[in-house]
Amino acid sequence: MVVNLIVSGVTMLMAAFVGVWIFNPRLRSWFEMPKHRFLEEVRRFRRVERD
Amino acid sequence: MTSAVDSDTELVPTERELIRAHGLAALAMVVYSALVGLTIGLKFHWPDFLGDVPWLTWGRLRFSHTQGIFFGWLGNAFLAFFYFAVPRLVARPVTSRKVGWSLFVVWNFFVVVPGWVLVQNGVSQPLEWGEFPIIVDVFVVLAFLLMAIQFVVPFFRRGVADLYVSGWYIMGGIVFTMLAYPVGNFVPELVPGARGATYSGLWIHDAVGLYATPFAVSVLYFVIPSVTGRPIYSHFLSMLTFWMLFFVYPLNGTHHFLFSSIPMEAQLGAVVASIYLGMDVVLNVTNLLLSLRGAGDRVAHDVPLRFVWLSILSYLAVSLQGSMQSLMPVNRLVHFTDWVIGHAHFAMIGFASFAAIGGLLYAWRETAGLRYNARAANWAFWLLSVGLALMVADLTAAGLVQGQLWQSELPWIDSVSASQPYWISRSLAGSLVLAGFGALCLTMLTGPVGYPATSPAEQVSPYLAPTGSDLHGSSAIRWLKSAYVLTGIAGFGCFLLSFFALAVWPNLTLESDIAASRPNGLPAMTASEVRGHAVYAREGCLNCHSQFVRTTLDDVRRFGPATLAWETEKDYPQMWGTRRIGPDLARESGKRSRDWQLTHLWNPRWVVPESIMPAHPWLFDGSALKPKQDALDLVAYLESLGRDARLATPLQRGTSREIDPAEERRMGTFCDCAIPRTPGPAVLLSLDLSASELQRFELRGASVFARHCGGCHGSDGKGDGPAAASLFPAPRDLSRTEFSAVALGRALWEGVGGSSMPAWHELPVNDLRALAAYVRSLDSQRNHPTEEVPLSRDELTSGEKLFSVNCSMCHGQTGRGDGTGAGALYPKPTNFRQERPHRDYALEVLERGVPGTAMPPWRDKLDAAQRHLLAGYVGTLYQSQSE
Repeated sequence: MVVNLIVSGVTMLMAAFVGVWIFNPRLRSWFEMPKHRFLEEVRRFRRVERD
Repeated sequence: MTSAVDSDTELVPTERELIRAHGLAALAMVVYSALVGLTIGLKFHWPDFLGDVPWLTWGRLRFSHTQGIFFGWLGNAFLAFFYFAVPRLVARPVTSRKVGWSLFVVWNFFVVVPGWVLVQNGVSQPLEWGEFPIIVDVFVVLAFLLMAIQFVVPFFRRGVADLYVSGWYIMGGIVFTMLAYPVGNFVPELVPGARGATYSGLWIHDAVGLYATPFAVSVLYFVIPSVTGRPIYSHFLSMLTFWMLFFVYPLNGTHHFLFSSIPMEAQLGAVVASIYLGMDVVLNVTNLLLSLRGAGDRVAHDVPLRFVWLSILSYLAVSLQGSMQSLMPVNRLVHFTDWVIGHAHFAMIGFASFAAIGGLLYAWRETAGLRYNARAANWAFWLLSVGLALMVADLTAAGLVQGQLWQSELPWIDSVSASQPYWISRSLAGSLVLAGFGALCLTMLTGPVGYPATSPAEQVSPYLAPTGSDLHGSSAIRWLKSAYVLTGIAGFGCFLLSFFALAVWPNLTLESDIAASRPNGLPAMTASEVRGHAVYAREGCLNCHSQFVRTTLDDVRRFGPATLAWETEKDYPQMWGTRRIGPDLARESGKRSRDWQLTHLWNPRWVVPESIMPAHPWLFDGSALKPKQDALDLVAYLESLGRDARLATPLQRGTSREIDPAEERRMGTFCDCAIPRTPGPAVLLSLDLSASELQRFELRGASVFARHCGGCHGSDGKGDGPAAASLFPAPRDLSRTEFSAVALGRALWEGVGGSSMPAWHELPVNDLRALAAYVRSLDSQRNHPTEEVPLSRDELTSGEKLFSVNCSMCHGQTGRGDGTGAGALYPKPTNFRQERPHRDYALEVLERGVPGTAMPPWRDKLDAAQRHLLAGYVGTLYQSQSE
């Protein structure tokens, strides 16, 4: 069934990302970097707009 | 006017006027859409409310309601949010203000407003979540192209490898909806029936999964850190769930058509994907709720964040509910019921709208020069929350009641009557929701102009982001950046693959199935039937009447053989429907007379006193007796539904006991070949009862009669109900004929062919018995006996001779209604062995005939004495206990 293939494929792809995350702790901070950068951006906008 | 942010290197404008324009448009449109929704709700208990105005009829209003919420409210609210969010996500402006205003004009004045005007004036497309007509669909695609230029291009200019998750959701929603929309809205116009349903089924779910969901989740991930001043729990997990959503969501669509003729593999695939999606949502919600840990105080005091929090909870609940109802045993019970309507409101209000409100209010509050009334926002939250909770609980319960009743052998109208208390409660809930949106208007139109105070948390603990600079440029990061791009390509490929798996491939299978199973020599649709198809679509009949009998035991028992793929090959587009308020119509052919159908369209309550179907007086010229061409075409179309199967399938008899429940459980479906195609021989309604039993049955019968028969036969059974004037032959005056139990049993079980008397075999046997007892009690001779002078022997002989010469050709020599000419007559001639007309009634018939039947008036051929003799003679043929 094609759906099974897709679901299995997705699961393996996600498992690969999880594997990278587990076995390479240094990369975790890269994965998480966008959330920090985003928050900085939100604050910068707010600060400048209110000034 | 534009406010500006002075970044280190450039000015990044926030498009305040576009935020304001889309925000105000969202408010106007949600109020109209909710008002329409409430009107629809009120029509459930006051079906004649605004019933004479075609553009305010139930079916057309529902089109406006769903599309208004989808495009008018959610679309504008999300667009307003994007103008606030995208510059903050990419640190650069959106593409162009001109594109922005073009998008605003196209979205509102080429899509929503004309869409409303068109569907309410009868120009629509009978596809769920695709109700606006094709001309509007063209502008929807154009709008998504403009959206992509306006919002997606800045993401690519910035680079997407380390983009924050909200940006991914915005991009994904725009791009994948732009691709899915044409497939779901254009293809079913070109591919008919079951094959087209595979495509429209995909869009039904993509509308939620690729449009509402990603945009809503983008808001959730944006507002939480913005308000709490803390980053989300895990960006890694948010990206993982993002890709899982876009990989798997497109595979869900076919779960709307379970137990259909679409290949079972595709159906099961959709079920598997639905469960998988539930797991994805659990992960996503876990991440979102962990992002709110320790922020309970902010949730309690910040209304936009509170809307976001409730949206997250709704997202979890509604997704798990969705996964559950795709399971076949659950689906069998709740599909087509109000449970699904509750689910849809839960998703569109509880999840999508609450997220949209959270995003809109946050953007509004944070944008210079816009008013924000915190007190009104709080009112909006509570009114909407209470309204939603009441509505979802109420519709879920109603759905379970309906599902149970549909599985029973009770008549369909019982489920309508049993739903009334729930529908009243739903209207109350709808009023609260409307009031909640009214409070939302106050929030955004009143109150002070300016920014809220910075949160205490932000003041005391300034945020210091980790730099991660030690990783930049490493080979692992380069690999990961490539992996993100590869994942994007894989997502796009998966999306295309979903169309192959759930639409293209099932279409190929269906094509070969249809070619192998389609009988030859079936008539094509007439021009009138084709026009009737269009009338059915335009009036929104599919909102209440499905057109496919599922391969479930209960469906087949109630409606007839399951719908086969080849039967649907004339439907451009298919109108299977996803809801039943009225019964399924796939087997309507041959069930009702044309007069019944026309009277039913003129005023449904004339023939079905408890019906809540809207009347369609605009299809007539002022009277049920004067149908316009549209009404005739619609009835012709209804009569064609299931006709091919009737003509092609030989009658098969069997009993439902032959079905192996274990086999059914194993397959998730069953072969309906053992289900009888006909209700079988009429039951014998023995009325040999004691006086007290008879009294009880008559009492029960009176109530059953009032519910089902009074519209035609009148409350006293004198054939003078409101529908009587437009039915030919007219309903019988039941007080002027004595009926045998056999005659009553047959008429109730099989109906009276050639008249408007339908079969009532779906009623419980005890109700049929009660009806028979009551009808017998209506006999005026029984209640007030009058002297009918018996015929002398000579008169009998003369009467017999007259009968033989003038009547036996149709009624048979012995009066059984089996004369040589009877076979060609419809309705069949009266069987005087089982019906004894009172002499005065018989005389009346002989003088005037029975309009609408083959019985002519005899006043010109027989003199008064002869007619008197005949009237007396036919009464002597009656044998109440025999045959």
